[in-house]
Amino acid sequence: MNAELQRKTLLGGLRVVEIDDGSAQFAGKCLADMGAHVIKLEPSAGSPARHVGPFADDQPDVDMSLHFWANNTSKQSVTADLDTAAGQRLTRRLLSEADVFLYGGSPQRLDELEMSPSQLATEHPHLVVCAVTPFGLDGPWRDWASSDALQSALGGPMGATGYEDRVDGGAPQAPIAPTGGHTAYLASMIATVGLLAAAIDRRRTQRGQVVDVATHDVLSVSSEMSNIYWEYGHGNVVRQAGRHARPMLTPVWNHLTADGKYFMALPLYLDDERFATLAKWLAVDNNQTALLADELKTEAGRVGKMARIVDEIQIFCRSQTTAQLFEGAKQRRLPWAPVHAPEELLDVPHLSIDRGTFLAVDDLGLASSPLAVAVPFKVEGIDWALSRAPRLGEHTASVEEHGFG
Amino acid sequence: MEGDRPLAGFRVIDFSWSVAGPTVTRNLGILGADVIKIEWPKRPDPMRKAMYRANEENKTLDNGAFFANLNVGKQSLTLNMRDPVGLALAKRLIAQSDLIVDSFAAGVLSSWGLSFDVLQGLRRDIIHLCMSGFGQTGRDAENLTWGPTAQAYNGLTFMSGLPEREPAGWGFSYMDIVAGYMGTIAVLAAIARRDREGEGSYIDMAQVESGLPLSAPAHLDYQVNGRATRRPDFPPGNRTDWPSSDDNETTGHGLGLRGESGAPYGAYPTLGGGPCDWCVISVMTNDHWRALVDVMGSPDWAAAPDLRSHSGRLAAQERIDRQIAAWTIHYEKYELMQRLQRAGVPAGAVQTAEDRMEKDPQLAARDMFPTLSHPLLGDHRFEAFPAKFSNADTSLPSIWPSIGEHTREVLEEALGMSDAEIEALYEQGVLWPLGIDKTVTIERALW
Repeated sequence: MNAELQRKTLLGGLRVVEIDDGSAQFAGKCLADMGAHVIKLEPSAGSPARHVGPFADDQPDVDMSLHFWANNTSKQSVTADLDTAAGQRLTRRLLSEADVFLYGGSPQRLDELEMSPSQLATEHPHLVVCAVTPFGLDGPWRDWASSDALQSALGGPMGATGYEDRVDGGAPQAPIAPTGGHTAYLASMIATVGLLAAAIDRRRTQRGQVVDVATHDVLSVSSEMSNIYWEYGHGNVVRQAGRHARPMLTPVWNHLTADGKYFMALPLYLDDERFATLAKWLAVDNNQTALLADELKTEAGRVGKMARIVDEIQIFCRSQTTAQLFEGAKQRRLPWAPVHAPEELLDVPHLSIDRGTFLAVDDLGLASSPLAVAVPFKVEGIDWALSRAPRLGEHTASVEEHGFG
Repeated sequence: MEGDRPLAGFRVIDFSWSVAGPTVTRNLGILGADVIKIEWPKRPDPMRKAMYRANEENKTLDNGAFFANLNVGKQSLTLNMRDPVGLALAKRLIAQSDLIVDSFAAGVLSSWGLSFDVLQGLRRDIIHLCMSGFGQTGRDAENLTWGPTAQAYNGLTFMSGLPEREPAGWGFSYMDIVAGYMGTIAVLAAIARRDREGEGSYIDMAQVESGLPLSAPAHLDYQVNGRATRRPDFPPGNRTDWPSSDDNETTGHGLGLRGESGAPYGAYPTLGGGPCDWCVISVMTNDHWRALVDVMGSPDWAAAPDLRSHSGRLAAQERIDRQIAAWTIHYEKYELMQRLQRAGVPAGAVQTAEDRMEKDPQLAARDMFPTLSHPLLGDHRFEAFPAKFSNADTSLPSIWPSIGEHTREVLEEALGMSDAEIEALYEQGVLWPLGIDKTVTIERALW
């Protein structure tokens, strides 16, 4: 730990106890990567996230979940059975030393443990208690069950995402809940915002408080335009593949390229100058002269003709490779980009070489150290405290003896 | 909840525009910071011209509906930053501020003579959050980026949709939301550092990078197992695992990267046949399964022995899904959700914005869409801050940055300038461009 203490960090000295079912772990990761001392209390079977794949070498094991590795870097792991007196004693002791209690799970579980947020706030007046629950600490749905797709459905992303075509010309296609576990990520981001604000507030007020984060609340105000369209009389948005859900159908953004991948050619924000540049590009590189027409030269002239314009862009994309398109768009200041698969980012020189975006995670017992991202921003003079996710119970003995140390 | 605001007394100079940066300053304003949005009417925040009220005939820079929700709680100061007098005023304001946020392309602020060194000279412990598409450094730093660009580039668009189809992506600029939240985290962590050490911070945040931790399990699966997401059974639609063509042992272990594993798991059609007449059901435990079977009235097909285990259900997803869809189609989505939730089965209706704002009792109980009175738009509902504090006020402050509305007030209060001094600056065109009306009318909305 001495080397850790000498590092310059943003949150050095912040002490966090984490108990999590999957919804708050990313908040704990952000805090730990920024230098906070995060102790994760886990049941002897391990936190639920340890049981979620994919697993390293496809071997299901509590210490081999890649999902767990990604979301628990830089933390310590302590096994404590909260249903026993010994586990409760250790938890209480750590909470008395901690600045923040980060909880992800159901409100009922906290009630069962006699650890309701208001109770903890009374027992530990200095403590910031941040509870990430599916629906919040109150309200008619408080005790309802939850899942990632369910939160996406109730909260908004799903209704706005999917395909506009119909199944066999009849019923609409099912809406799509994007994969990746984003509902937990969003809740965790807001939890991090909330608990840091409460920790800052404590410097002034000398007291902690309860921060109540409902995944459903977070999702319901995190889909940009839908609520505003409704509130101001435009109706509900219509989902359409690979682009923004709007009250009306709009032309496609993502087109197949000559190398069989999709490329995002955003047809928005095309002012006259940028449009002229685009028209010339298509004409010179693929003999497509349709966009050079006089009537398209002005913004007013292009109104109502976007479908035609996008048809030309689609033909053009099909004739070019992804690399040609991206390079050409860059030169012409068009905000276009390849639709990358996530693993392809590891090989982008701007990130991997120039910006050092990915950091090696050592000591995993693998032949080579995989790369991961700590918190995704850079602060001059500050190092991220990125270390591998802990093995189950790895720090139990030392924490039982020394607490936060 | 009553109480003070956590960031009371902090002053933010906000040069950001569009969505990601203004999301950060919206959060900071609600948390109590005094947010001063600095703009010049000749090149205003593009969101001032986006999405008006339906059938709005009098579109201006100040009555955009989307802009009003995004920029609640901020003040507006107009200042010509390209005029030396304007720049000098900005520097005097910065000297009395805690944070500067900008979302310009890399290098713009430096071109005004406001590099971080200069800013630190003005205020030793200043925090500067620079939000750009690709970051302040690196060979692609100049790339132009909007939200859709960032999510296409960083892999998140690719991860959404049905296998072997074009990406479904996201129906909105998810990366503007993520960058906005991550930017807020960065600023608060820097404030915590300043409180502890007395040091300021220079933060370089690239929008494309801000989403990378959210696909970290995909990066690891590729590096450790050699499994790319560019493969025929990915993304998994609404499932946690798409049935794989090679039915190997790894099927059933969250390979769809949803962060959980279950079957049946997906969206099922309900009465009505409308685009959002669907209900999500997620069976992740044997208890969920038994409860679902019970609610369905224990049909014969569900008694098959292979369906008793998680792995058995994963292998039989196609078959189960057809059976469940034939059952759910007879129910209205909320009725189905209620019945299943009462039995302990994770189930949730696919909601439209209308559903959330008019029919969702949970959001109503938690006051997530409070009504405020906007000076030009009248009474409307706005999106609340999604964290409830027991001892701090995080209600939405009822002020909006009508362009240039707070110029005089800020210069008087923060810099102690007199009426005559301010008048002279208006006459020189430093505080408002000469020859431009106070109300700028917009012909066509950006969207």
